[in-house]
Amino acid sequence: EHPKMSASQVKGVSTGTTILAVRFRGGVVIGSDSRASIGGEYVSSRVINKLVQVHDRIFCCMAGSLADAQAVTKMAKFQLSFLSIQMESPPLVKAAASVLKELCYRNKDELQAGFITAGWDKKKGPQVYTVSLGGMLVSQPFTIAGSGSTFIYGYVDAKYKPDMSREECMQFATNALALAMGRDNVSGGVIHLVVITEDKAEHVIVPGNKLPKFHDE
Amino acid sequence: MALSNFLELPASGFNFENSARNAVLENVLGEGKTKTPKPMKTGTTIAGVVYKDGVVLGADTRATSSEVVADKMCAKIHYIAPNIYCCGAGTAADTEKTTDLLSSNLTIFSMNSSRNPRVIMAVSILQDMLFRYHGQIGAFLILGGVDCTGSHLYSVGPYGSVNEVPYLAMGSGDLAAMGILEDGFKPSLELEEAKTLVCSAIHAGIMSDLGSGSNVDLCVITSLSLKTRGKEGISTSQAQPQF
Repeated sequence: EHPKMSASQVKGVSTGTTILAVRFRGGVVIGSDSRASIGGEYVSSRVINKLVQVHDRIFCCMAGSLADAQAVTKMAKFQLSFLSIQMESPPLVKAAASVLKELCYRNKDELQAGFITAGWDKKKGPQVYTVSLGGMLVSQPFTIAGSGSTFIYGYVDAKYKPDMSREECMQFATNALALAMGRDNVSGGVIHLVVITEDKAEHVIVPGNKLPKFHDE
Repeated sequence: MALSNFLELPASGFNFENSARNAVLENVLGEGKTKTPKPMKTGTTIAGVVYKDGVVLGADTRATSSEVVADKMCAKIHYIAPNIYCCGAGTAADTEKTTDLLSSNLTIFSMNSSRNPRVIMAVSILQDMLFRYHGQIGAFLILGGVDCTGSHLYSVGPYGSVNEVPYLAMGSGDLAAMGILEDGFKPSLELEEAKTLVCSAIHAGIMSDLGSGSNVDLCVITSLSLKTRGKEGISTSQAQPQF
């Protein structure tokens, strides 16, 4: 369960955000909005990238304090590249999520950052993991997080189908993010999506004027 | 802080020793009659723009201490390396010292490796240091430079957050300056257009923000790896803001 991360509790730049990841047939889609705010008062950047590549086929998206999240992902990136050299093979998605979890849990008093990790590995194929604020690690077929996620629980619960095709999944993710961005004041900007499959990781941007429109717009 | 000429293995995990010390100091000083001295803030407008051949940085020149202007000709654009300059907002002492430290570190690196430092190096070192101090160092920095990978402009926050962008404003006048930049920025600007844009942005900050004033400093870093400034030290911009 994700506690609603109120932007004013985070010191410095907060990503007060909507992030999600969804598994489909053959891969995962991981997505986020692009707004960073300070003190819940003004938007410090409307084009921030919250999707970080921690390894070739593993991405994670950050929520909470931007400084904390960037420091943790930097550390995780280093540890994973070291691990992949030691093991002579790409790290498992679970390993990546575990590294983040360890950092979040051991330093839970000082850090205010949560993550969603998603990717593809040879052992289990496409996977989605969520690491909450306090360091809980859970594997799910899809997951949403960030302050904007509270507005779309109903939507994702109703609309998710297991084993979607790639296009269906991207549409699902885009709709969910657009709905959350429409209702949450600290989420907004453009939609960043990364589609990870065995072959490649593809970054797709949906600009503000191409967002799906719903009944009241 | 890691120097580049010998390997300093850091203790594992994050290091928050100093924030505990700061909290203790604050409590100790708070109990007695003494108050911590109010740091001089640069209450500032700083801006940067990436143009076709490099980066243009701009800053106002006013430094305030509460409501008094402490320095009318304060230099806010700091030298980091021949190809990297940094504008600083926030606490004047913090930005000065941080950029000095960074500059020394990168000079050692240059001497060791016979290379100009890359902008991402400067950014990583700053991010590491500011994160370690957990926001106690009040430095809001705009780092701009040109290296073998191209022209770059980064914003670095006091808690250690980093963002690479094509145009940027920071400081108390940033909202006014950002309005001008959002309106006037295009990718691949020419040099004169970029200088005019940054100058207008700083000018907007100077007019609309109480903490910014006096003159506009401009710094142009081009891929010919030479920086051009006005006179040594402080310069008044040659470009007049267009209205």
